[in-house]
Amino acid sequence: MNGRNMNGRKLIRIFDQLYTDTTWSSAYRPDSVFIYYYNVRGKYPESSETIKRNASEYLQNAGPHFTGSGYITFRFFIDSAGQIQKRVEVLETDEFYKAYVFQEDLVWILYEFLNTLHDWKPAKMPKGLPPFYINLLTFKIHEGHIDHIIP
Amino acid sequence: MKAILTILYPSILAVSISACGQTRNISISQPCDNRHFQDSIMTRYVDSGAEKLTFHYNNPAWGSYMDSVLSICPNIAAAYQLKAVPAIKNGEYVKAYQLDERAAELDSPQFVSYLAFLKCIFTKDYTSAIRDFNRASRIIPGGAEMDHGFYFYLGICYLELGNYQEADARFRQDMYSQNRGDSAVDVHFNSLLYMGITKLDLHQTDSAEIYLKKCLHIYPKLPEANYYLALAFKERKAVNLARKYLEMAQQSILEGYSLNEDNVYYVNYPRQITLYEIHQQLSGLQ
Repeated sequence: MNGRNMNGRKLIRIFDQLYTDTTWSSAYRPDSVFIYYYNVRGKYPESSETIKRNASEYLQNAGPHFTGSGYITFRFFIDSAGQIQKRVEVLETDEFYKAYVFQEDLVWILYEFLNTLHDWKPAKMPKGLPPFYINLLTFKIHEGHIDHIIP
Repeated sequence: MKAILTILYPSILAVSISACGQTRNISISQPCDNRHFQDSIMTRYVDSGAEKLTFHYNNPAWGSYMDSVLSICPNIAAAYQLKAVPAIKNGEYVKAYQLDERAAELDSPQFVSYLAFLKCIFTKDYTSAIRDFNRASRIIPGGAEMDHGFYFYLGICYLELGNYQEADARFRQDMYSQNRGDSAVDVHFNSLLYMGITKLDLHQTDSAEIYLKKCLHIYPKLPEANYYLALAFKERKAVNLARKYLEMAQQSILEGYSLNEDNVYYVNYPRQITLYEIHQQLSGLQ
């Protein structure tokens, strides 16, 4: 789907990377070396099956039926208060791990679901490192439906 | 760019290497299928280079070291696999699988099963993982990957696809490969856990109880074994036993116990639970 989605938002492409927004207010460069969720045991504190169930319900309630199979990943920063920071990256592949573009409305609905998750682990970084870390959530999609959640 | 050039520069120098105290020149046409030559390149750029980086594979220079290896010998499968490590862990699946598939093409005995493992555990691509594990089984019959035989992962794939008959058969093969039918010999607790979950999904709660209790005999604090045993008791309306095992699962997690697999830091294993699911079940028993 090209152009703006039903809510008037548009994903932002910068070279080969895609973002929901490009807001960056930290003193650290966004391409610095960062700690990842697995360095701080920062996976979301619900099982993949629970997240999948809730995300599927959210998607179903959103109304539209979508198509396409593959993976939609949101990669984002979690700050010292456990909040998702701005500048969320979107990565998309098809089911054969080739670059792919899903319907943008589907991406936005999943992004809205992501923003309903409020129990991310706050960052406690070693001295000298940015006070936030990178986390991610991937939706494995099969014919427009959520098949699995990663991690 | 500066970092890349800094790292590529020694790769050009690598045409002169030291052997037996003497420096000899090696032309770029040096056969890269020579294992000793490949090992020397990997030692120089991986063991003595990339592996010593701060932040290890999350250092931006990590990939540049692998590029240095591949600029000399584009046929070193391990360099592709290593270059893919941060990508698979950080959600960059296009890049990760492009590299891991290349590694599997170049060195099938070592990397086809690894590719299958990634699909099974990391990207939940069970149908494709089954295909790759079957391919790996033809190359190395009875082989293993990441501490488990191929049958273990095949069992997980079929379980997650809802093909319980095949899952049951593969978990049986997995356990047989470990104890050769001698029930006195312990099998891996996670083989017992997933067989127990398979039986629970089939509503064979008596059989699920047997496997999950065997699992707990080996690893009493495994949260998932306590949790799914509680679900078996719940299905049988044995509420007090269900509560007992849910509380044991809860206590185990609070004490820091978890599913004991190397990759649980990166990705949840199928049916892995958290305190959230335990609390949900406990509140449902009230």
